[in-house]
Amino acid sequence: MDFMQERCDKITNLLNRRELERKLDIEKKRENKRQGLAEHENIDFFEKTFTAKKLEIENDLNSSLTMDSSKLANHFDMISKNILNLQKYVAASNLFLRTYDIKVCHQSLQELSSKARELEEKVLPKKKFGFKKKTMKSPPKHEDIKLNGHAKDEVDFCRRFINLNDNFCGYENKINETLVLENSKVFKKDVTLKDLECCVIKIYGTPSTIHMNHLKNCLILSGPVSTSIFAENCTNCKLVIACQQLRLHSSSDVHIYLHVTSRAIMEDCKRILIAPYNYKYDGMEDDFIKSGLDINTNNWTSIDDFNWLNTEIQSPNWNILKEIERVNDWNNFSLPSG
Amino acid sequence: MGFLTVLRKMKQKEKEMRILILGLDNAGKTTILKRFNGEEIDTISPTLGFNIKTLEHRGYKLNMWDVGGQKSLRSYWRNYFECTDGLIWVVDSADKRRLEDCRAELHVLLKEERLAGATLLVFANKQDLPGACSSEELKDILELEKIKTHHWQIVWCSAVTGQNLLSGIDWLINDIAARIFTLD
Repeated sequence: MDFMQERCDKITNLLNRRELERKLDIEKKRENKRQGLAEHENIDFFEKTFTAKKLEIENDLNSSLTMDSSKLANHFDMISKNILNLQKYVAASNLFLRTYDIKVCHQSLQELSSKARELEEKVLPKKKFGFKKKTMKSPPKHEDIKLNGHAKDEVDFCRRFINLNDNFCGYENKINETLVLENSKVFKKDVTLKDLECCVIKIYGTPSTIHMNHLKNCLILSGPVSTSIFAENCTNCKLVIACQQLRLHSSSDVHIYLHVTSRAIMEDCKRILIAPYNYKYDGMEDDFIKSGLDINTNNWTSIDDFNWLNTEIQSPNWNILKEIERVNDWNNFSLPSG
Repeated sequence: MGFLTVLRKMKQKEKEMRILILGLDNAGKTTILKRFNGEEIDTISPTLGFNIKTLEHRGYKLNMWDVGGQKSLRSYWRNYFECTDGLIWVVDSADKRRLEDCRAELHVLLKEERLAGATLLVFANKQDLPGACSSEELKDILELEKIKTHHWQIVWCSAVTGQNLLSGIDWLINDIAARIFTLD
């Protein structure tokens, strides 16, 4: 019995000691946390962090002047993100800041973002402007503006310029034609295809977006589109398209060979058949990189039908195109006559 | 103390605003919301229902409601009207073909009694695209001058590049704040 008692005591002791250790440990952790919190929630710490971040953004801004132009877009993107983050930090800290501090912070934030905007307008003029300029053969204008040194004037000029030129890119009112849009023509543009009948349209390169409306018996072959494709009133068409989003409305009897990196939706559509994107051309991989679309992410079966909200039963308005019915070689494909 | 005063006092304490983001589909509503919140924008899918985000900006708590713009969803917009302090109407400035549609929807919306008093910010989005209408042109096309029932402003922006988003939202917040937080 004694032996048992002894053992029992021993275990109780052990357990008690452990319990004590555990409590001490918790207390210690709590203390650390408290100190940490207090450290982060005082004005000195805030000021230090804020100044450091601000300096970092300013350095980024300055380095943009000497940066390779192809990286600039991303660079400015990052800067604006950083500014936004800093802004959030100020917002989160305003509990323990004085009104004056908040005011000063807001002022410097505003200065930063306006500086970023100015710089961006200066070193990264809108692409289409540069392109237009070349075709219009009027480079001296740019020089003049630079001499005046008014970055703002340049922008104003640029905007007016765009409005005068309607900048229409695409085709409308065509019947029985085969048309090709080349890389340089569509880069970052909004391509419109409208009122086409029995046409084959090939688009190489990376448009920013495509609008299609009233297409009949058409074949559309397109390189990767960096944002959305919006299609309406298409009948009896084949679309071979890659994009971030597809929005299909009021269409019927359309075969879509699709690469979509987010999701596609359809509304008021009937007899839509879907297959994976299978268009191939030279330089396609490069175009995918340029467009920012991931060539390996294709959610071609992720289609939401606004007229069919039941998730358990497949929508009757679309289906997957059977493999044997798919067209595999678009270069030797011709539209069925009639 | 009337009921409205109580409401106002409560909001004042929280510094909370309810903002509704509407517009035709493909206008860039979700992209604006996500860009403003500093999130990734290249994985956004068309909005099937709605997104809600609560974010802090300049010490205000903003409850942002982003409702899908598809034709079949527009009739549900009215479910979100109650207690709206600010309305952001997003326009795809490059989609000229649907601007008429856009104008009509906006003016129908503004007749809505439950939106009376809400501040209206029109975002002329997608200014990064060539051929986009300027905010001046859109002011005419959308007949904004006709609006007498709401404080309104049109601001150009690009959700993709993030340009000018902040100045638009700042105007909206200032206008709302001047209306609901300074009265006592």
